[in-house]
Amino acid sequence: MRHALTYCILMATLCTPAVAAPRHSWNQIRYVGGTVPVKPSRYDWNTTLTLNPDSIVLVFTPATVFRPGFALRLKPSQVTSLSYGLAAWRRVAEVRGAVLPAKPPSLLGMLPDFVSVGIVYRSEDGKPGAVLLEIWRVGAILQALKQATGKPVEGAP
Amino acid sequence: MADNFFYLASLVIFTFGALTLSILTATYWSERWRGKFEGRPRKRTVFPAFTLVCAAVFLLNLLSQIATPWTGALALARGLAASLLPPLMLHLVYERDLRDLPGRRIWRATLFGLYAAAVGSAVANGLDETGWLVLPGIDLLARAPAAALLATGVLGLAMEACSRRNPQAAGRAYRRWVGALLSLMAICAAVNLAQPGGPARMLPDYLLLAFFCVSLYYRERLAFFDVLVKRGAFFIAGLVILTACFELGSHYLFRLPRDWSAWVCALLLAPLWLLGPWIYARMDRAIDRLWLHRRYSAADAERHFINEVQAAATEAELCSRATASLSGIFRTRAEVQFAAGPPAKPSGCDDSGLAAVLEQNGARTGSIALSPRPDSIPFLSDDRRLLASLARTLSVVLENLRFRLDRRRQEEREQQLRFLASRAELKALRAQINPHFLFNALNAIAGLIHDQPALADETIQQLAQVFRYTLRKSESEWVSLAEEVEFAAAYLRVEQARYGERLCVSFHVDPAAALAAIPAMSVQPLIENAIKHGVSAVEGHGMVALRAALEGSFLVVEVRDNGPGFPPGFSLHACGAGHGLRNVAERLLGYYGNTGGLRWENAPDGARVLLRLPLGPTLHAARGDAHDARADCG
Repeated sequence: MRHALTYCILMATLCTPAVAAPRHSWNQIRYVGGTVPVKPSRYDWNTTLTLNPDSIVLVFTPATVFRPGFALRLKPSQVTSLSYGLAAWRRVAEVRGAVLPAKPPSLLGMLPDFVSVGIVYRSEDGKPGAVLLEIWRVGAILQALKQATGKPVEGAP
Repeated sequence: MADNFFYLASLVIFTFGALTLSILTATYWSERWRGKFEGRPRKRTVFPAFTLVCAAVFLLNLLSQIATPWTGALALARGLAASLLPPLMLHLVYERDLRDLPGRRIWRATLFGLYAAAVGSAVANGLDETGWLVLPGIDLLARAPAAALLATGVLGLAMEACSRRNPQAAGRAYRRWVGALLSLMAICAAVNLAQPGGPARMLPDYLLLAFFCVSLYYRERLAFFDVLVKRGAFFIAGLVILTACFELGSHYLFRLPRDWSAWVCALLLAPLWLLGPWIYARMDRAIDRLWLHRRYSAADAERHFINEVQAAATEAELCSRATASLSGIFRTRAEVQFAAGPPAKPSGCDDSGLAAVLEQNGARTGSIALSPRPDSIPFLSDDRRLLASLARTLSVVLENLRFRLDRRRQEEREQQLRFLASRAELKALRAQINPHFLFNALNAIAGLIHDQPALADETIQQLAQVFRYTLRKSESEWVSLAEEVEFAAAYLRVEQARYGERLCVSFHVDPAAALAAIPAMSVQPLIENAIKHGVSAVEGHGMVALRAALEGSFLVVEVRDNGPGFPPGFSLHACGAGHGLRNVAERLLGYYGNTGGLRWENAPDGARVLLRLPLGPTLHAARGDAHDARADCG
């Protein structure tokens, strides 16, 4: 009985990825900083990223009352680079006009830091722009971003 | 402004935490290695593994924050190592309460279940982060570290609650600390589960560091912990002050011309640098008082101890004084032994007491043993250093005391020897005087017996009185001046029978001095000397005068004659000098030391000998002392 139960759980775990449908939209993303005119907050995890074949949409919805939301729509071709982790902080900070907070170091990281993803783009009027996002689970998002933009992710594992 | 302050505070705390963790781990392992080489017994525990995992997580986390290559592998390794920390914490609590836990199997299964869950979730998270395996529902797994922390906190508190142990004071304090840290950790984890991110994300790291410190302090009893705490407190105070100074001053420093800013920085830092030792001394004292409840600083303790022990007159008193003083200084029961055996082990304890050896010229002369403190505060490095210093002080005081006692005993022995020598000399004097005196007296009587039978008869009676006195006082060391003068007068009357009209005698004795106690037969040798070397050498009338009087606290006896006086360069120890005077002088030295004495000089009309004796006890008391002294001599 015990062996049968173990076998079932193992099979269910292994088969789930195969039957799961691919995702296009992710929430629980935090806007850390960049050129977007939205005030970042440590507690604001309401940013949503939606990847369509022809557009990348970032919707910043501040949790604070009376603060207007903001939506950033980019064509995949507008994205000039994708970066990951420390490289993301560096790339976004290089963009003129980007505002980034200082990042406090953690001692042991028992509650792990969120992974940072940087998107550098050029707006329709040709001005450079960048967003730095903190994401809970990054594997699937990175894969999707890579596929959508066709750009490599700098610093990715 | 708030963001800036938060960032600066986090930098300061991170620096402090990183240094604390590194130093504690390094010193713990160095102590462990030293213990291995010294053959100290080791407890089987997961604490070494805990320290190693902490160090590994710290290094991997540091690397992942500063390095970009191998981010995936680093993240996987860091996540895997970090996932072991919560179960290891729970394991330490389990290990502590193992014997007193009901349902041990369930607890063990729970513990290993936590290990498995934490490691499994860490592997899954790492694989997802590296992109090697994309799992659905991984969002939930992302909360696994916080859930593991929450489980650790809750299970640890449950273990403490279920444990039936009734620990000692130290154990109670340890349980209180662990309970508080587990509670805080559970709260932090719950907050993180409810609201990810935010400053509460970093708190568990420092709570774990506090757990590390508390475990090291209570479980491992590292002796240098007090030094670490003091240096750490000083370091964080300095870090905070410097950060605040530069943060507040940077606004103004940037406005200064470029050449000035360095000079102004140096000017700002100089007072801080100069104040450093003063601040450290104050902090050291405050930590000693508040945390370790030490009543004295090291210098005060030394001073107090020396004041207490230096007045001791005997070894027993020194032992009791040192014991009392050490008990007060270290706030526990102290045992001091002055014996050359192995050092006494602190009684009523395992290995949490403290001992020190008293040494003198490399040889063991005793030991000090301290029992564990009733309030469970362990003996740390400052206590060990202070005890070693006090042991050295006590060794010196003991050596000094023994030297003083030896010297006093030696002086007493010398006094006793002098006393015995005086008695022997007195007996020798008597034995020496009698044959001479008897021979001369009998010659004189033989000359008188036909022409002046009455004078011969009187001389025989005086001779009898002289011998009676000699026999009667043969066992007595002390006589009154009056008795001695009477004896001398009888002697002189016998000599007058011999010399006839040629010998003139005069006596002037102050009645107040008549009862003064003097050593027996200390005047007669002077009279005999005056006759033998003075009167006998004079053609015509010879004169012997005796005067005795009190001068202040001294009795002065003067014997004069009208002889040729002492030859130039006369000395008692010179060859040919009379035995009588030397005998008297040596006996006086034995009885009085340097306070009494014999002096001689040439007067214009002859020789003069002076006895100067301190007025001591009455004759009765002096005889009693002499009797006691004889009894002591056996």
